[in-house]
Amino acid sequence: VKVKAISLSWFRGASSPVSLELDGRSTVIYGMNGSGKSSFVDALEYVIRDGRIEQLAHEYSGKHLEKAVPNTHKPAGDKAEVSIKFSGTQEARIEATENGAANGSGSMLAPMRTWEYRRTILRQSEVVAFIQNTKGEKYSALLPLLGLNEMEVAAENLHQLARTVESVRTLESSKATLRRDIADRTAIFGSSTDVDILQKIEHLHSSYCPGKVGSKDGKSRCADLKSSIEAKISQLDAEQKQLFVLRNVAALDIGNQVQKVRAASVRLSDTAQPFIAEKISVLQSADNLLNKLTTEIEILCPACGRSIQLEDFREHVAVELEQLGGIRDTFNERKDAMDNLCEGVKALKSNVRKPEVKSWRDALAKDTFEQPLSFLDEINADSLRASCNEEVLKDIEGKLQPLVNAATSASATAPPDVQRYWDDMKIIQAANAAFKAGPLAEEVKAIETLIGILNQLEQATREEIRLRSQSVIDEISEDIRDMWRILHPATPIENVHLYVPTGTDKAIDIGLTFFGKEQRSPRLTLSEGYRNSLGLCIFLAMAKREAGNDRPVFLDDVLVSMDREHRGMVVELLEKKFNKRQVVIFTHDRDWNTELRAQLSDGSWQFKMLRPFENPEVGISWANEKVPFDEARSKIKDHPASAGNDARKTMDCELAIIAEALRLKLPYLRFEKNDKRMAHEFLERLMADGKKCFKKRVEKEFVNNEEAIDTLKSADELLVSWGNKASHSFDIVPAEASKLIEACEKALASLRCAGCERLVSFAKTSNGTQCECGGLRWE
Amino acid sequence: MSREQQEGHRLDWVASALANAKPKTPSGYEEVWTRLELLLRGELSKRPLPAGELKVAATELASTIFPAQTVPEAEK
Repeated sequence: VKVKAISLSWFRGASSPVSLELDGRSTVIYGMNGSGKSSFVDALEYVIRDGRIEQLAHEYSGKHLEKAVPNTHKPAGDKAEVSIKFSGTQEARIEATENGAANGSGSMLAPMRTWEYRRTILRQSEVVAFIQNTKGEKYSALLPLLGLNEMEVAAENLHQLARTVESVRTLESSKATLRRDIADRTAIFGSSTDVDILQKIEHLHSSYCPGKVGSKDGKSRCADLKSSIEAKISQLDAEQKQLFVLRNVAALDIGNQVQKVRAASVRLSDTAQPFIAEKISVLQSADNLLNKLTTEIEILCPACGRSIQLEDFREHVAVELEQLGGIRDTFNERKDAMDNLCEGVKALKSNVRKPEVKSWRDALAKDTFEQPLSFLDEINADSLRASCNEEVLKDIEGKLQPLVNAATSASATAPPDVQRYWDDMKIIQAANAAFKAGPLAEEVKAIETLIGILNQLEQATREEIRLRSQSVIDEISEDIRDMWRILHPATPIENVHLYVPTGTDKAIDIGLTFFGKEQRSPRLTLSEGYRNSLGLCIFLAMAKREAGNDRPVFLDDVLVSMDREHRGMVVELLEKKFNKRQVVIFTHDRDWNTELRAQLSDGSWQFKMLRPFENPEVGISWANEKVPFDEARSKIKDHPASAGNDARKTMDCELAIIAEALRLKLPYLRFEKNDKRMAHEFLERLMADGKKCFKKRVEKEFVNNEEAIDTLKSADELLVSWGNKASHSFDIVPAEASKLIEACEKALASLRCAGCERLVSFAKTSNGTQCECGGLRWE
Repeated sequence: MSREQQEGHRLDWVASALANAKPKTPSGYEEVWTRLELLLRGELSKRPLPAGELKVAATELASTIFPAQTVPEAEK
């Protein structure tokens, strides 16, 4: 996919339609700050992100960027729109409507929206973003490249599925029932086995149900016994029936149940207090850690100020989880006590309401039990499962226990038959619970196993993600290392790579070797310039992986903090690794633009220049000149000294590159001064050597190019007089600045062939250089 | 297993995850695994499931180890 043109109309800095004609080629666009370079990048982002430009989204830009996207001086009725053309008639078109909604059309609109912004565009402010991201953010940024999104979704769904099975199968409730059944069994049968209990039931069965065959399993036997005893109770007289029910009430252990809830609450409180204190401490540490995690993996201990490894903090959290396990047991104990109390109160309520005890109840009501009986009628027993404060406990203890005591007194004279039926009924109920406990225990175990399977599968999926992430990021790391070696061939910063930190999920980080020492983050040692070049390598490595050699990449002023040497290497990097991709570079750096033009002079790249921005109505416009004197020219009227200074700086840079290509012999200067020579120095050498070396073809002969030498001399004289004045005393008038710029332009033009438009340094010959057509030679 | 099969197996994350997790569970859960494999190759990998769909999936999964007659009281 190659972009042919990006056209803007009243979009950002653009006014009337302006088009960046790329023709599917790699291109360098130079323009000073504010000239409108980023408007083209914004346009691409606007299309890719469906009407969104991240850096413009703020409180003043409007919900749909309607205050930021259109040119501030857009005439009413005109449209703010973007068109991106591809080969053939393919196009993506998008209009920012008045209310900010982005209306898109064109065959390439949908495909462009699948482009990943972070692998297509790199802006100056985003170069180090990946490095500064947290491990989790790095993972998220890489996730689409890893191709593991469906595994991530599956792992999270498995996690949620396990929690849902737990709730759908009421696991906690089943476990509580099981605990109660086991407690009832122990109370009646002690440590007797199931066989012992069944024998006891068989014995009762032969006594109550003589001759009845039926099923011999425990639960059926219990059902037979229950029916038989209920039949016998129904034959009792009214007084005996009342005594049987009162015996039920007397057996309720309300007071003891209240005490158990109270004791469990105290234990929970005792356990919870240090836990809460610990939790606060952990949360404070975690807060500190989280703040620090965006930068480093080590944190300063909030207590002692020492540096703590993340691993140590994990141990801290593990201790907390262990404590949580302990507190959960205490919590369950209290919950069971509350459940038991609830069941006790419900049983009391149910028995006291029975018609068999109506006369007893009426008698109590006439006595001093009116209030306790009203309390019993009104109390919502089920609410005790959720909340049971001391006030309620006191009420239960003070009002309901006396009712139980009254029933105990009244049933003390129960005849032996009634007592026996009651005792046997208790045995049958406990046996029935014991027989049910087995299957229930199996069911609880099965639910726990199922949840365990889901947890194991989630972990196995996460492990797969980890393995596969590592495999993909190893490949990306290889590209990063290659690119880093090109940019920094002799630097003892090596083995730059992405890695999956141990013991964490959804995390990726960057490691490297710094002068032989392994570093777990580039932020520990790398300078800003190195971090920038690493950020560029990472972007390019990910862009390379994203779409192979297909989609274009756009670099918007990304080399600001790189020095000249490393900037030069970027071209080598792009030519080696991105020679089949369309690369579009936007830069405000005049020197780098000049260097790029020299380095990429074989015609594979094209160069464009934006005029300085005048005002929103004029908008973005293109310059026609081959060298960037436009910038200087724009300042002649208001800032002539600055214009003169710009012209001199342009000459410094242009001549340095030409001098290098012509292999001019210049005296050695110390260190970086070699790279900071002035135009005057180059011109002197060009003139001196040029008298013998610079030839031009006149018909079939090559003659000395005296005319060019004169032109260089004129420029040199003006640079020495006015150029230096412009730089140092600022004492230069517009006419002088204009004449200086014109002389400089002519000087550079004299080194360029009028026929083929190439510099005399364009191609090497056996004894020097020449332009493309051979009309100019340097011998 | 041929090299091609091994490569295919390595690329099949569902098979690989199942193979890693399965040996750690007791026998008798074969149907659970079969159903889980189907789920992983289908709905579970497509999008985050909403609560309603999770409940359906959880109930179906549990039904493979709890036939209808043993559904606990709380379910009825």
